[in-house]
Amino acid sequence: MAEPKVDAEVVASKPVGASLVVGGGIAGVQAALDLAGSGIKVYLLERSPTIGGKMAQLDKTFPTNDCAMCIISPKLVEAGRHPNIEIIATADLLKLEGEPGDFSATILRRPRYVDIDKCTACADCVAVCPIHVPSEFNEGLAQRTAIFKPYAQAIPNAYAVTKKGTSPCKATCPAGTSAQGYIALISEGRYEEALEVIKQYNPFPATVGRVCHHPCEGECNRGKVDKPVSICALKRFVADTVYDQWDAVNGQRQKSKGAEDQGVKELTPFPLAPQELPPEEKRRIAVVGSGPCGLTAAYFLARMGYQPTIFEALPVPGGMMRVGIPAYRLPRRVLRREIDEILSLGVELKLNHAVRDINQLFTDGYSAIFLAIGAHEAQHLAIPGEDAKGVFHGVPFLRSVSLGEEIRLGDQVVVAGGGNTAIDTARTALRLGSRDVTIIYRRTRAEMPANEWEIDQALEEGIKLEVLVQPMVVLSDDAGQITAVRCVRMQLGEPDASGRRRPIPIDGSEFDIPCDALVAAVAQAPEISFLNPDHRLEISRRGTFQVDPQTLATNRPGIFAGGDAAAGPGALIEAIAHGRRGALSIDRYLRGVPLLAPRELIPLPVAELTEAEIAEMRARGEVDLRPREEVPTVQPAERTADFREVELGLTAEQAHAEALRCLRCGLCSECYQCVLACKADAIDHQQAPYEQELKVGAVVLAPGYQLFDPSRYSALGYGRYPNVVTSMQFERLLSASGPTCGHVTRPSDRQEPKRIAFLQCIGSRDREHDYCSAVCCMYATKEAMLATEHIHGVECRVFMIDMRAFSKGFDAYFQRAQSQYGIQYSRSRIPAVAEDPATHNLRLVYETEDGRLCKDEFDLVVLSVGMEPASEALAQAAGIELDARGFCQTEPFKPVETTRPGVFVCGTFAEPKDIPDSVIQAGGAAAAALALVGQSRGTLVPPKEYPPETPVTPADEPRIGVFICSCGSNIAGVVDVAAVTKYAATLPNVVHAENTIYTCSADSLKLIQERVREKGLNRVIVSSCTPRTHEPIFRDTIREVGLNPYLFEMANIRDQDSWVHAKWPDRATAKARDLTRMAVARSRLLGPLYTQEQPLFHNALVIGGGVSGMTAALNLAEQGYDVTLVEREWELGGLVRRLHSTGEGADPQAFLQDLIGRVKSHPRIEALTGHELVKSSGFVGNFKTTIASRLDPTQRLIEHGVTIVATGGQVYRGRAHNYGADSRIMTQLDLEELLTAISDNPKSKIPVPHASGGRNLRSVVMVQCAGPWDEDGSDTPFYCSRICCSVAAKNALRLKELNPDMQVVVLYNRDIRTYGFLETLYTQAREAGVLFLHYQEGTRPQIGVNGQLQITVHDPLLGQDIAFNPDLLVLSSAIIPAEGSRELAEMLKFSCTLEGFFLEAHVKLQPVDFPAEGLFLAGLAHYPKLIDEAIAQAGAAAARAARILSKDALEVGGVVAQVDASKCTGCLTCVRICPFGAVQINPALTGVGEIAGAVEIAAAACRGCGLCPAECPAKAIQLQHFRDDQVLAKEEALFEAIATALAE
Amino acid sequence: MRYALYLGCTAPVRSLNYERAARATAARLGIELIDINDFGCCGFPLKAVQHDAALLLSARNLALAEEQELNICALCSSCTGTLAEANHALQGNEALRERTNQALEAATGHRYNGTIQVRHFVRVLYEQVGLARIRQAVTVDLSGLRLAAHYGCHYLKPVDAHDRFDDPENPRSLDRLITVLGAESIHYEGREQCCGGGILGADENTALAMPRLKLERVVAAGADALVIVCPFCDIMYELQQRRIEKLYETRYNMPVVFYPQLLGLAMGLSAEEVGLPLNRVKSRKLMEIAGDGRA
Repeated sequence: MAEPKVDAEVVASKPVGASLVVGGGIAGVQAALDLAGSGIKVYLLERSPTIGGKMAQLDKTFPTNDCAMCIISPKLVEAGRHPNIEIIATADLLKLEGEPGDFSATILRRPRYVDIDKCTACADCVAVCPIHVPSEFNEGLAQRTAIFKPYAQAIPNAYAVTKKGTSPCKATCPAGTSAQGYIALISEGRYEEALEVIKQYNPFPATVGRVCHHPCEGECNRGKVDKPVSICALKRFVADTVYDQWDAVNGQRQKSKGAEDQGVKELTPFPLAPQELPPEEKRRIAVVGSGPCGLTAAYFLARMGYQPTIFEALPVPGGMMRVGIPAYRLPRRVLRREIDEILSLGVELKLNHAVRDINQLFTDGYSAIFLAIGAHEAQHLAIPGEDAKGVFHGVPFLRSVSLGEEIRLGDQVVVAGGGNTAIDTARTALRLGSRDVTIIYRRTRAEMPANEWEIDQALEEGIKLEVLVQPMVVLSDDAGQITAVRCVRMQLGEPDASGRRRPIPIDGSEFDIPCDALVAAVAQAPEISFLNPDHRLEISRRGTFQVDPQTLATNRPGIFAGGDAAAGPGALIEAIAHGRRGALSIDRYLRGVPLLAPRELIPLPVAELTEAEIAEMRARGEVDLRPREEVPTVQPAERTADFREVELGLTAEQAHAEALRCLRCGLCSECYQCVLACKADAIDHQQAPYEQELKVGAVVLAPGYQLFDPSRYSALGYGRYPNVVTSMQFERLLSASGPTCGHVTRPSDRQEPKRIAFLQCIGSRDREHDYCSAVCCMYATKEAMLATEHIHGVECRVFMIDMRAFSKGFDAYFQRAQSQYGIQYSRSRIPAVAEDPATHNLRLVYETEDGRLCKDEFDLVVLSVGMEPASEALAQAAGIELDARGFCQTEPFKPVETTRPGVFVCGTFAEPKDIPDSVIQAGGAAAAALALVGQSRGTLVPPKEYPPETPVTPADEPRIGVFICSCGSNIAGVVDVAAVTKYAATLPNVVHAENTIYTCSADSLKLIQERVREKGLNRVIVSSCTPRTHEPIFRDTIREVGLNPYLFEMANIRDQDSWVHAKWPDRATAKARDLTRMAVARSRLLGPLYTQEQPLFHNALVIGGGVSGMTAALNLAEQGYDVTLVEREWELGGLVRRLHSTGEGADPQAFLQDLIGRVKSHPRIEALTGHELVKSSGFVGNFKTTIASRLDPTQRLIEHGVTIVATGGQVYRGRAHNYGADSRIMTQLDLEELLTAISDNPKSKIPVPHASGGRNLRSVVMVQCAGPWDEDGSDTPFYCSRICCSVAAKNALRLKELNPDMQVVVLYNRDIRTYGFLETLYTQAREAGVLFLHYQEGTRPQIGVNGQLQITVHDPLLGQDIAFNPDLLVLSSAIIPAEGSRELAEMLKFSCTLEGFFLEAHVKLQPVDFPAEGLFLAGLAHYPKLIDEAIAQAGAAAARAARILSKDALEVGGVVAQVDASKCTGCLTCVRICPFGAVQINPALTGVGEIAGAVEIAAAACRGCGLCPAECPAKAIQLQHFRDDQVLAKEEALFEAIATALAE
Repeated sequence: MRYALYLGCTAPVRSLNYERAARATAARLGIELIDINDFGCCGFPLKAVQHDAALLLSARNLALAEEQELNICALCSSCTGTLAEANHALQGNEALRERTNQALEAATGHRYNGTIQVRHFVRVLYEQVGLARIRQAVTVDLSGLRLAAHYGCHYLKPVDAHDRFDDPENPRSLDRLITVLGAESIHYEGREQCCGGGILGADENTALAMPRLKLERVVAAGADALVIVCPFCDIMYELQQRRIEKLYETRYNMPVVFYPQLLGLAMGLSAEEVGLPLNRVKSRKLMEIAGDGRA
């Protein structure tokens, strides 16, 4: 592997001051924030439309039961608002080229179809979207629309459209009609909208709905289930229905009036309409030909704002629709209505007006010309006698009939041809009175181009069909009148160019068909010869205009041609498609934009459904099986009498049923209802994917994981049994914003489950997964606890192998789950789930610990699914390697480095881990990236600019705006927010009160700013949640509109109201009123506060010279900051000095020596060993710490900007297990050293401590969880030291390697907690023959040391005691806090946990911060952890510290305490009470009664904790922003109501 | 599609209806079934007692089919399972094959080279004929029939011997074959449960408790018939049904049909052609479908 460490020299010039972070889950967001906080520009790349990842889906987080959304949302908002972070959602990394410090990342930006900058997240689009699909965010337990935002607080706060592809119906339709769209709307009874959808493509829905050859139905995926959807009939249905409604409402249409008067509803503007039209003089367009193509072009041009003129040679408009298709297929009134509607848009129609001179049209002022002259020239049979009387040709014949000319054919008619014209001719002949009509065709029926159903109808009507017959000669009498057609019979030969088999005459098969008329209906062609020859247009060999097939542009600019005249004779819908295409091209031509849109250049793929997908949809109940509705027809006997319409339409019931058969193949149906509904004009369905290149110096990969899909283990019944759900589904059921609003019900019957089973290790610790997913034990415990809070009397049982409660506070949480919540745990792995089909209850069989078989029934089974890697493509794109499991490959002691220098990793992509570990590793990755690019900080990021502040003085009348938050249902589910809002509006000085669903969401923040401007607010109040998480966001919001941030006030009506009083909604509402009134009262007295710039020291003090301290120091030094490293011992290295192996077989000593070498040689690091802290004072940016050498009395004062505490821990050496009493009893660390001594001298026999008499080592027993809690009378509660299980497994394996026959026994009475990849060690140890023995919980092994060692434990499975006589007893001893850590905590003024480890600011999301600013935490001082984890955490601490050091100056002041010296008596109360040493006596000041000296408070040191003003007996100190008058105003407001009530 | 038909001992003696229906439907679907008169016992009864001897018996049958260059298609699930398992072992382990061949050659003069495959008849229908062709062949609508599929054990397991062609925990092949005929394949509890045939010889009471539980559940689920693919299952569910009814003093009257019988009816074959009169528990519904309802 290449050495990932990059020397500054390697980077040719200064690195690019930007980073790419891939993955927007909590790890990616944290890394982005840490990088951005140090002045690095960050591109945050996210696959999905929103950042937040899996954490956003969780209900609560362990072990604090914080609401996951409530703690992640502020981080997401911060990332969304951070000026240095650019979130790029719906994008993937494609390629990463270049070198560390100078990478070029190619990303693919997939279309979102919504413009993020324009979208206001108003959800208007959701209301109109007809497509409903399972919601991924709710894990399929609820539906969402195709246009969606996964959850309310999503960042970016904008909608996105899901497209799977183009549905086959749309893809097949020549006009690209969104058939799936109008069908979806029909299924919802939204007929007018459905018609609008069709009219976006086709102005002839009623016409096309009757006569279309509907190739769409041939491709319809429903055909794979049974039969295709009757798409064409649905089109006709909706057109007929809506036309009838409009006509009924508005009365008879009159052609002369405007569109609205005519009963034609004004259609909403065409969604593809141009934003800007070309100037007035360029808007006249000439359309030649009024057939379907010309009329369609004119229609769309008119709707786009142009003035088209149609020139038509015939006396009627409509082209082939009017003079080609007989009335029995297309009633004239239907066509007329649709043509009239086009004309009513302002289209000018010139009938009997053949255009000959094209050039003249330009001269006449037309800016563009569309040629749509059709193909009206009939082809002849070219046989002898064709000029006889009684011989007609198809197209002219039908035209004559349509124009009302009188034609007599006679009784017997022969029609030659096999196309639709031939069929139409024959059926027309029948309707004109002919009795005997025969169609002759030279191939077989299968080759006939006519529509299958048209042939059927013709045959039903009595028309004869003679196939394999070709006319040879027309025989006529002396008068030249036809008497018969001489034909020859044919047979089929080899296929010809068209792919059809060539008909060959059969010799001697001639025969005559006597007839009165022959109609030759074989083909037609465009007629171009009438044009003046100077048209200069290219003509194809087929006699059509030569055009670009996509744009329809001819060789002459401004002239376009379409329809049959360009493509040759084709179907009606093809002509219409050309008409629309022509209009689009003309518009784009005139506006001077490219003739093709991005989507037209990169079309979506066709959405195919596989059999399996269809089966899945059926299983989910999304598709109900019902037969296709067939279109009824008039009885043949009735219909041939005249030209009445043959096909009848569908009824409304039929249409509804038919529409429901649609499978919604493309997901988004492109009905464009959202486009019409969006007032912000934010939706653009024409977006196409594109690639973008980003220049970055470093890359952090945090793509996360995917949940194991339990349907792969079919015995568990997931996907088959409705009441088997995944843990993530259960999280959604618990969530207040979930599908059941937090009311936990089971899917089958929506009843509350009373018995819930949690099955652990689903997709973890099995044959396919040799790792533990590290989080499932704790989340299952959490989910079980929450279930008991949600469901009264619920019984929860967790089936597990081990309980892996290995991290800070986890074991106490697990204990609480059992003792306080009554959660039951069974050590049993469940292989299969059976269902009672009647009740949908689930039956489990499991073994108890004493070996009994139990059968049990549950209402709900929750599968605790594990994590799987899912980033193979990303790894390939980034050029990094994956390990055998598919996770990111990392090397020992380099936990955040991938195999490619400059590319770092964090989160679950490296290994399964929980949120705090992900956050820590994210910080570590950010630190590593900062070491690379940190020196270029600030080069690519603009400083945030605020508008000038609006002055607000006490004299100004308060103008208060109150925003009452619903917090989804968090508040509104209990508190009557509408009533509170109304009430707030009545309070004095309140000029505005408003209720918002999520006040913290980006659109609400925008709204607050609008209200401040529009109503001139000078105070803003939000009644919502806690200022702890949300106040900074709101303050910044009003700062952005020029209000001082301290003019903001918050009332907590959630945490302190709706959550705690959920059972008393009335009283909660009353309390919300009180709290809001109090906030209003106080806000009147708020004034602006200002901060000053305070210079800071740009160096760090690192306390502790172990691996953590050294790593942090080195990282900061590499970033360019000076570091003083203080170590109490005489040597650097800490605990690791005694470690000689790791689970992966790496060498910690080599690593340590290298690290020490680098620390010692780094010019920016001063490493002081043998030194201790003596005194510390100061505050962030300006710490003053005194250190002293342990050798001589000299002291040194160090001034520094930040402090990192990495004082480590120590191994417990208690006497509970006779440690120290016998040399054969040792700790794992002792064993390490012993083993190393052996390895260093392999030939020697294993030396065993003297007490065993020098025998070789044959047997070793290890005892887990040896800690202070084992001592008699100890009150230290048990906590898990996290590493001992894996250390035991590792050392046991080493023993087995030395001697495979050695008996190695690991005794444990809790669990083996080898989390994550450490599981492999456990497996290997068992495979090597190490015996892991679980003895009775709650007991201790009995240890005897008389001569032989003897260890006795009780095995519950055997029901008896087991005794061992090992050569060695190895204690897996707990890690306990380092000596003197409590004293250090006191000196630096922070707190410790019960166990004595240092307490971070927030367990979940601030794991390396102390509550006080500028102080950070890493390593074992935080909690026991592995070397790699400590290294990552040290990096994280350095990254956090760098956020401060990177600033030029700090802002101080604001909420600080101020002294009124004239009241100070100098009593020193405040000096003694201040936890931060910020208060001092200044002799220069004058106190009360002119006494010399008064206290003074350094603004920069004051944290605004409020202790001193509360304690000051003289009331000489006031805390700004919490002044007495401000607080008292609140009190008065609180009691005002009571006082009023008492008075009444 | 040519196969050596492996009848085994039970089908031609106790389940003639199965054999008839299989041969009739195979002929119509283009499966050519070739009888090899020399076929002997599959080895199943010996398997638990003397594994190598059982393997030898299997190998002999495999060798006979291989000599004719035919894959084996078997009606009985036990035969299929035994032959397929032996085949899998012999194909995957050259040393074992050599050892077995030495014994086989010495005793019979045959050798097995590991070139053929063994499939259950229903698997051939599912995989080789395919649902689409079966759908085309259906002429009689079976909709309205509620059928309970019983897969049994050796049709699917051990999975490796059967190329994992179906999921043993949640098998679908028979359900799909039923629904493609237009009938409904119903969900009932304990679908995966064994018929109990394997322990009939050892402990009758336990053995009969197993089909009893299945019959109870199938009746409770409202099935018109139980659909099976193995003559051993037929012994338990059909032949023993009266005994179970007597033993537990109840009445099930649950028709039990072999899948090919059902398939034949859907393809328009007569009751006689699919051997329906040989079924002991009569199904009026099936007889009606066969057009013999009034007879």
